[in-house]
Amino acid sequence: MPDWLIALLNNPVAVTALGGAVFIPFFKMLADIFMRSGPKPPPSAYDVRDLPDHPLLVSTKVHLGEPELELLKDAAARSRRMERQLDRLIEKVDHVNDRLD
Amino acid sequence: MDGQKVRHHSIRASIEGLWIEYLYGDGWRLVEIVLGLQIIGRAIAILFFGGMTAGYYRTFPFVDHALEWGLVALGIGVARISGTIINGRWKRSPRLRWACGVAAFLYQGLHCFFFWQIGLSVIAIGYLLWTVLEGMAITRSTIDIARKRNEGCPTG
Repeated sequence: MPDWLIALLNNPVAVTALGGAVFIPFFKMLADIFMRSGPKPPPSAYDVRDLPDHPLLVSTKVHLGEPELELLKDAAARSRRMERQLDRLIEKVDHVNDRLD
Repeated sequence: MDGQKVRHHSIRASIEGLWIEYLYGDGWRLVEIVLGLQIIGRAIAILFFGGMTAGYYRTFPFVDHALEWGLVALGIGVARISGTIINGRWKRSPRLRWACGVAAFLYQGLHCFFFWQIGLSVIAIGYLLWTVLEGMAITRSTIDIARKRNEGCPTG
């Protein structure tokens, strides 16, 4: 081994610089290898409604749909019908009010 | 990775959770803060408690400039912690975090090689632990830089 190399490897600062020059690109390569595993998986679906809209999952959503969903939809439709009836009644009352004044 | 469904609560699942936490999670920042605190502790030891006056430090590079070494260590430690906090809390300056990781890696690597060279291998193995952890921190901050580049910046 040449003398200058022995003197170089005996110097801690030189060895640190060499080690840094070797390891830091290695860490960059490691980061690329880890990044190649892709993006994070999405959060798990605790309810069937959280599943993504995928054609293969349509049957899952149909079969595993909870009964409360239909009750909820019925209640929503009922309340919407009652709102419209209420609007019509209020319109009639306003009309009578205008006729009185 | 919150919301990841764990099917079996086993040791393997815990290790996999730690690995995912290191790659993508926020828990690794605590390790970086601990590493920065260690360097600050070393700086305080050098500056106030004569950390470099031991006999085996005789051949340390620039051993006469203990004040400069203490200030360098303090700077590296403070910059390390602030880089991690700035990147974690405000999602800014990931390259500061990376650069401080590199500086701390070189600092710990220098000490590790120096003590290995003298023959104090127990102290060298201790510094090797810090060196390996700093290397993992460099890898993690490189991953964060690449992720920020890929995802696009919502705040600009």
